[in-house]
Amino acid sequence: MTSHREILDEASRLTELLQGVKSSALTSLVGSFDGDVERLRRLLTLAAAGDGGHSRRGEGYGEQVIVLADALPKFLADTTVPADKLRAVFGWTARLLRVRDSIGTRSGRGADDRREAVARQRSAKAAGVRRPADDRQSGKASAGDRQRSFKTGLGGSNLAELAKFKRVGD
Amino acid sequence: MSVGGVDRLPRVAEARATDWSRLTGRSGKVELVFETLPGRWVSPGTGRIEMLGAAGAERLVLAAARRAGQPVLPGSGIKGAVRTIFELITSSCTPFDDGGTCCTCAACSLFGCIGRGGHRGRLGFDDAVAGEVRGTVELVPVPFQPHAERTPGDVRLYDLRPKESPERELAREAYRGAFAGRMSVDSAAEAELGRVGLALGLGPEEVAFPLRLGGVRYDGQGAVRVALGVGRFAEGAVARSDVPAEEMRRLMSGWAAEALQQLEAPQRDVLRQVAAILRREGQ
Repeated sequence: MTSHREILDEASRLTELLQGVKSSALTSLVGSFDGDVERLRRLLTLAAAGDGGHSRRGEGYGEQVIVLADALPKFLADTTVPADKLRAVFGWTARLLRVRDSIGTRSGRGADDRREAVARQRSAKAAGVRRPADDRQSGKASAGDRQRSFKTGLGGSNLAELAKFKRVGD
Repeated sequence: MSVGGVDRLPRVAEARATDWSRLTGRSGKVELVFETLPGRWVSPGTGRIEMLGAAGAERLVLAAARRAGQPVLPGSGIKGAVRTIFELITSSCTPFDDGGTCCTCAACSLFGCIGRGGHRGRLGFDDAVAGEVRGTVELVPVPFQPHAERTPGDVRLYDLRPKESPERELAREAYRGAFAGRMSVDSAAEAELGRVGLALGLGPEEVAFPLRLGGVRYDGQGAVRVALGVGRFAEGAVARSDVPAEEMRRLMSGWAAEALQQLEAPQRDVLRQVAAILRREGQ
């Protein structure tokens, strides 16, 4: 039987593998994990190959997907935690990433860690692993000003609360 | 573009928290139908990447919201979309910008507010569940970050035109079809319901528009037509009265028309501009 200590140790180990990765990025890939490890492996293989365009998203998210697609399969291959306990490991890892991210925000290291992790992963890939495939491109032509912004009645400067609720990728 | 004069209008002080022992005005539920416009789809995001398709032919997509495995339009998203328009036409506060200090404006009074003195409001929307809905996978432009902190107090609205020449695209799950939902109200004045009707896009022709739900609004998607169904309202503590769909639509039409007349001129202007943008197609 897997002890709580083992779960926490594995979460800590996984957190170390995910340098520069935010909790939200991890959750976006493993949030629907239901114990089917082979399905998760297929998902990560597709992500590494650039399927769906998710590894090319901006604002650092695409870089995080690349790191996750590289690190998670290695973790799954090494872990001794059974499949039905992996959700707990991922949950604790998300928590640890959030804590580390809050520390990193204060020290300004988050984005640097991510770039370094991606650079290491890419140089390893250049040694022989195939590059991500390109999705087909389609252009949509339109012209003119598409959007308007309206000032609301009162405005304000306290955006701290909004920052807590904002999400990437809506 | 800012609308002159809007931020000099006084707030509408309707600070009425829910008093369950004394229902006034209209209290009850109204059925709603949300239907995607022809040729368009809606994609309420979850932030999760999932595999869709048969084994061996799977694709990675940004998953759309589901409840018990069925497509759904989250009630929270519907409420947010309606509240945004309601705030614009009633000169209400912008909750996140004000840090939850206001609970007395028209929007906070009806929709609820956070912070000191917070309450859950007197209006809510259930999740709208799928009727005849078809799921699809669409390639959408990579979302950009609006960086709202750089434009405090502004609201971003999109017309129905697609984004210009996207450089990158990603796969996203989307829905086409009709969803059945419900609006709940407690002690709402007919004037308030009229303003809600305007915010749902159910006003007179000049200010009618398709509501915009879900992600990818920046690419002209998420447009849904809202239709009213049966209403059921409280008559005293126990009794209920049913209002047939056709009568409910007639009532709302009247409330919305009256509400439009009651708006201040700058607020009516804002509503006309909002409607013009939300229904603009083509060049």
